[in-house]
Amino acid sequence: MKDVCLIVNLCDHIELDDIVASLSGYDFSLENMVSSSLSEVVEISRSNAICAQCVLCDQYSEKVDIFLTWFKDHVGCIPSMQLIVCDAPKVNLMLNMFEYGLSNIASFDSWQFNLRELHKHVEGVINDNSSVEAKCLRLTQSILNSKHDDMEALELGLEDEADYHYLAAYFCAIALESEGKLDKSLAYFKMSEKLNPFFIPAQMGYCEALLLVGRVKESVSYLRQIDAKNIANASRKLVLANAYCELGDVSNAKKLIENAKQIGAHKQQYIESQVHLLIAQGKVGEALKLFDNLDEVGPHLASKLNDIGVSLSQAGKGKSALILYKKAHRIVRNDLKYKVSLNAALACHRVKDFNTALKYLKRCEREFGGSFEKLEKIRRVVQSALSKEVN
Amino acid sequence: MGHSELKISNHQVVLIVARRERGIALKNLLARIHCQAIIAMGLYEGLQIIIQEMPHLVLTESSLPDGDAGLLFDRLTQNSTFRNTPILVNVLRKTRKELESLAKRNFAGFFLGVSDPSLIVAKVGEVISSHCVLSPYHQDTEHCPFNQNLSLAADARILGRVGSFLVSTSPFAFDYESKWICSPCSDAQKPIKLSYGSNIAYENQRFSLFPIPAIVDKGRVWVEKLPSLGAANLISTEKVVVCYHPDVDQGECLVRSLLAYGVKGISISKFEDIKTLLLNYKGQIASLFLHELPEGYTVKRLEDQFGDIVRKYGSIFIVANGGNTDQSIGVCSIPKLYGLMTLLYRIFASLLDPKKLVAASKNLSLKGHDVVISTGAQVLGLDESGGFLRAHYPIFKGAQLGLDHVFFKNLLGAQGRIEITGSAMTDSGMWTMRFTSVAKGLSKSKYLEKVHLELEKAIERADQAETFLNQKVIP
Repeated sequence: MKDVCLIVNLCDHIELDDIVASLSGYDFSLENMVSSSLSEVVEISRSNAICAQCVLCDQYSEKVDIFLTWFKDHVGCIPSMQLIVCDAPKVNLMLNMFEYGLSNIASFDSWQFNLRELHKHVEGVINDNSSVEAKCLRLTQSILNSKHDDMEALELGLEDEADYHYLAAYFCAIALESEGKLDKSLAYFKMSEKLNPFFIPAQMGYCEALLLVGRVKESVSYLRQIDAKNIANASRKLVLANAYCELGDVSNAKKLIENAKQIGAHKQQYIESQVHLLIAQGKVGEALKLFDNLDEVGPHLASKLNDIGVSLSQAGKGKSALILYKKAHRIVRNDLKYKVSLNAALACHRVKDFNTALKYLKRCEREFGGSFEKLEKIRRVVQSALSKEVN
Repeated sequence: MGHSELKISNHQVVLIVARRERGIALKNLLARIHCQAIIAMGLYEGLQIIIQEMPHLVLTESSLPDGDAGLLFDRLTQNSTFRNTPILVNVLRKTRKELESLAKRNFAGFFLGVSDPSLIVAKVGEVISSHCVLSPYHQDTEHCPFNQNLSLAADARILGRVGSFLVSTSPFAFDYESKWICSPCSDAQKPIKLSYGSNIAYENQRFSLFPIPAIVDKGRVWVEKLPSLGAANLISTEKVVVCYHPDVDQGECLVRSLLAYGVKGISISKFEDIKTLLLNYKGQIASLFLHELPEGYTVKRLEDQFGDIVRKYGSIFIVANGGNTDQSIGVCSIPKLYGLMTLLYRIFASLLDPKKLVAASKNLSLKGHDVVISTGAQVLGLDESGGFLRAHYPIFKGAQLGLDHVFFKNLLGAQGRIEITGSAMTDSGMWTMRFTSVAKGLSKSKYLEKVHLELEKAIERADQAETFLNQKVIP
C-alpha cells in the first residue's frame, strides 16, 4: 500500500483543482490525495495507507470534527502527523482542534511549505520502525483489524516507551481497552496524562474507561472539569450525557443531548446517546429500532448492549437476547465483535442450542484473531453439554 | 547568499581625510547605513589602519597631505590581502594634478567635491553591494566537509522544575520555535530535545523555561526526577492575564477556557484601555496577551509606550505577530496563527515570579545538572572577523556559543567560541546569522591567515579521505 497524505478541503472559496495546481512545483515526500467528502476518504483508505492529514478550512465546523475524528479512529491520534490550514482561526477552531492534541495552524500564504515539512517529518517516522509514531500507526491498524496477537506484540514494543512518551502510553491504553484489560488501560491513560497534562484525548480516554469499569461518578466529575476547557465540544457533552444515563439522571442527560445537538453533534454519536437514554428509561425495544442508524459503536454502548443481552438471557429470554446480539454484532466496532459473539454463545448455551453456541465460539475465535482462556473454558463446557445430550 | 546577509553585515569603512571635521561628517553619514567608520588623518595613518582593521571599503580624499589616492591604490594592490579592497574617492578639486593620479587605476567609484550627503550614502551603498556584499575577505565555506555535522553548542545548567516547566540557567535568550538537543554531562542520563523555550531575566540573571510535556525522549526519565523548585512559591496564581481580542465573544471564550486551565483572565476588546488597565492593576498583572496589534502599531511602539510600566511591575507582553523577540526585554511573541498549546506555554511562563526564581536558584542544596545544549548549523563563510552561519532558527544578538567541530576548535581555540551579532530570515525560511569570532590575541590579518591555512588543511584532509574511500570501494 502506498503511503499518502490526505488533504481535506473544507473551504468554500477554494476548488479541489486549485489545490492540486497550487501544490505543483513543490517536492513532496509522500503522495498527496485531495478530497472533500468522507466517503471518498474511506475509498482512498481502502487501497492506500493514509499516514498524514492536512485540513483546509475557513473556520471550525462539524465537518472539521468529522475528519479529525476519522483520522483519530482510523490512523491514530498523532498530532505531529496533522496540519490545519486556516487564515483567521477563531478561538472555537483553536479549542476544538486541541481536543485532538493539535496546535499547529498554517496560513494559506505558506501552507505548501508547512505541508512539505509535514511530509518530511511523517516520512522520517514511518520509515523508522522503531519510532513511537510508526508503532502507534501499526497498532491502530491491528485494533481496526482485530489482530490481537499483533496488538500484544506492539504493546510490548510501546510499554517501555510509555515511561516517557505520552503517545506510547496513550496507544497502549487504547489497545488494552480493546482487549478488555480495563484496569491496565486506566493506568496507561493516567500515565499518558501525567506525561502530558495538556493531551485531552488521554483525559477523555480515561473518563470513558472509568465508565466501562463502573466508576461513573468519578467519570462524570472529571468530564465536567474537562468540559470547562471547551464548553462548545458536542462530543464530550454526549459522553457526559451517556454517563448521566448510567447514573439514572435522565434529566441532565436530556439537557446535554439537546445542548450537543445545538452545537452540532456527529449524527452517529447523537444516536448512540439517544440509545443510552432510551435504555436508561427502560425503553429497550425503542432503542433497538435506532440500531439501523448505527455503525462502529464504541466500547461503552457495546458493553451496555452486552449487559442487556446477559440480563435477558439470565431472565430466560434467550431468544430476545440472541436477537439483540445479532443486531449488536452488526453495529459494534470490529475489535469489539468478538465480545458479542462470546455472549451470544453463552446465550445459546443457556437455551441448550449447543451446536449454534459452538458456531458462535468459532466466530469469536476468528474475530479475536486466535483463542483465549475464557473462550476455551466456555468451549469445553459447551462440548461437554453437547456430548451429554447426544448420549 | 543575498539580501538577508546584507542586512546583518557590519561593514567597516576607513575614511582617509586631510581634515578631521570632514571625516566626522562622513562617519555620521555612514552610520545611517550601519557602516562603522574609522578616521585616518593622511595616507600613512590610513595604510596602518587598513592593515590593522581590514575594512570592507576605503573612502579617501583624492589629495592628502602625505600622498594621494593613486599612491594609496598602488600600495594596496601590491598586497595580495588588500588588493580587492574597494576604494571610493572623494575628488575635492577637479584639477589636472588631482585627476592625473586617478587615471588608469581601477577605483570603485568617485564623487565630486562636497556632495549631497544622500548621494554619498547611496554611492557607498552601491559600491558595497557591487563589490563586497559580505566582506572582501569572505571565504565561502558552505560546501566544506565540516558542515556535514556541525552544531552550535553552549553550556547550561538544569536547576529543576517548576510546574510543567524545566528550568535552566541560560547562556542566551532562546527563540520560542527553536529546537535544541540537551546532553547531560553525565553519561548515565540520555539526551533530550528542548523546544518552546521562554526566557526570564531578572537583574543579571537569565533563565530559560522549557515545557516538560514537549519532552518525549528517553531522557524524560531523569527529567521526571528533577527537584521541584517550589511551584507554589514561584507561580503567582493570584496574578491575572489580560487578553486583548478585538472580538468580545472570542475574548471571553478564551478567558473562560484559560480559567479551566487555572489561569485567571480579563478580556478587553479596546486597545486604548490597555494603559488604564496596567496602571489600575499595577503588579497584579502577570502578562498581557495581544491577539493582534492594531493597524500601524509595531512592537517597538508597544515597547516605547508601555515598556516602563511593564518593566516596573514585571509584566510581560505576549504578542501574536510572528516576530522573533527576546522575551526578557518585556515583550515576547508567538506565531500570528497560534494554537492553544503555544499560548498556554507562554502564559504559564509569564506567571512565574522572576525575583523568587532567582532566590530559589541560589538554594545551595540544588545541585543541578550540567548540560550542553546544541543545535545544527552550517557555516556559510568566514572572513577577517568572523563569518556567517545558517540555522533553522534565529539566535539573538549577543549570544555566545561554540562551534562544535575540530576545525573551529583549531581555528578559534578549545571551545570554538563565537558571538552572534545579527540575524535575518531568508526567503526559504532559514535564518542567516552574522558572528564574530571570540579568538583573542590575533590581529585580523593574522586571523585571516589562520583561516586560509585551516581551510587548506581541511580540504586536503577531505581529499585524502575521498581518495581512501574510492580505493576501498568494491566494484
